[in-house]
Amino acid sequence: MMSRMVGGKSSWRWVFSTLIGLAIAIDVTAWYLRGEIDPSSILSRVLLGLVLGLGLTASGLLLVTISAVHREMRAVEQIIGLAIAAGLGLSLAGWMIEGGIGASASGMDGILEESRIGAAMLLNGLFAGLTAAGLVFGLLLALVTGRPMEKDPLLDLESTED
Amino acid sequence: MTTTAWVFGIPDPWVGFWLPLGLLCVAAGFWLTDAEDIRRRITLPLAVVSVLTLAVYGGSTRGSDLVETSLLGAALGVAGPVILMLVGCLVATFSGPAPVGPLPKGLRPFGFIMVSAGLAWIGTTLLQEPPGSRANGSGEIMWSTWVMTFLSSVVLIAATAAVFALIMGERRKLEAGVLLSVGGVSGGILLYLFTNGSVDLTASGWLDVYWEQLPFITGGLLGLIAGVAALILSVYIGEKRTPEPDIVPPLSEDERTRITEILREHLEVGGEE
Repeated sequence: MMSRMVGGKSSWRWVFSTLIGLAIAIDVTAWYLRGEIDPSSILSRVLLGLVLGLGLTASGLLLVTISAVHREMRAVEQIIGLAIAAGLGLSLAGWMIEGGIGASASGMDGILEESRIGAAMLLNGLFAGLTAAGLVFGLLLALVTGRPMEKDPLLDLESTED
Repeated sequence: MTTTAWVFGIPDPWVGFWLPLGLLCVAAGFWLTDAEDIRRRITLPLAVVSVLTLAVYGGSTRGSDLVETSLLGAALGVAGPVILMLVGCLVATFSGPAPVGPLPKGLRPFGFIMVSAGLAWIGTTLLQEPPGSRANGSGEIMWSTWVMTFLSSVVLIAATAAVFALIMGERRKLEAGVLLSVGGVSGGILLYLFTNGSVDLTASGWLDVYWEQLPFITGGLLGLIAGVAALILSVYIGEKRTPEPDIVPPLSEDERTRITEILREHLEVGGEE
């Protein structure tokens, strides 16, 4: 099995080609059935999701880091790096929302409202994606571990302790 | 906010939903501290308080059309099938021939039945009239986005995992076949929703959800990866800037003698030196 895994760089190409090809096939089907789409609007939604996702993830990790800080920990670079990433992500998201890219809102209240909706939607998507991954990999694990196999001889060895 | 609101519920989403999520991050940080640290001891109470606040908020804002309530409604709506599938996977895994399988062997088919039932349960929710929390407004968008993301993810992950199993593994045709079946069923449901719609949402509604929400969620996933990359990069920079440790002076004669004594004492227990 090892030789097949190591020997085939093209194997990974097949795996990624399947993923990308299938994603494109679903998109093309949805495009064909809908009739018309606005690529610039879709791109701006992707960008808004990216900066908001970056800001929220970095904020969450920053909270975890600050809560876990102790005397022996070297955390200055980690805190500064995550604060920059969080600030950058959330500022860009606010700027995009205010400018009407992907969503439209005016004033601080409007930006916060749109950010709240976007963050909730991202959590929703994350939950759905994790559920799907858990289902597929859980099923794969159950199937793979179900194969009959020879008993491990190491399990029969006795302990050397008295 | 009145006292009554505080006693019987938390109407503000910032206090009732986002604050507990932030506190859960703080609890995760506390959990990473040393066992002797006092913060470690308040991890569990903090996590419990956060979850209870979320539950109280979810209960007190029922019926309104807030996006946080819709998210909780969607999560609660699929909690049953998700738990069923999770337990099914665990039952099937731990009742197999693996040496760490403490469950009776006869339970294995029931594990797979539970997984299939969970998937079928999600499918049947699309054939029924949804409850109030998912019928319209943000609840409908949240629920349909969950379904769309779940089905698309299952199709992509199952097909990729099946190809991976076929190419990388040996004699994995059964595994690949099962995964392709799951992916195929999910793809069939996805195509059905795109062409015929469901009880509560038309086909064009599902296509709107696909083109408006999935790009946003895809971007969010990339943002999540970028956030984790930012963490890795900052840790790397921190480690690179760590000064070289001071040169340790060589052992004194007393220390050498003591170490030799300890080594002799322990090695002599086994009768050899």
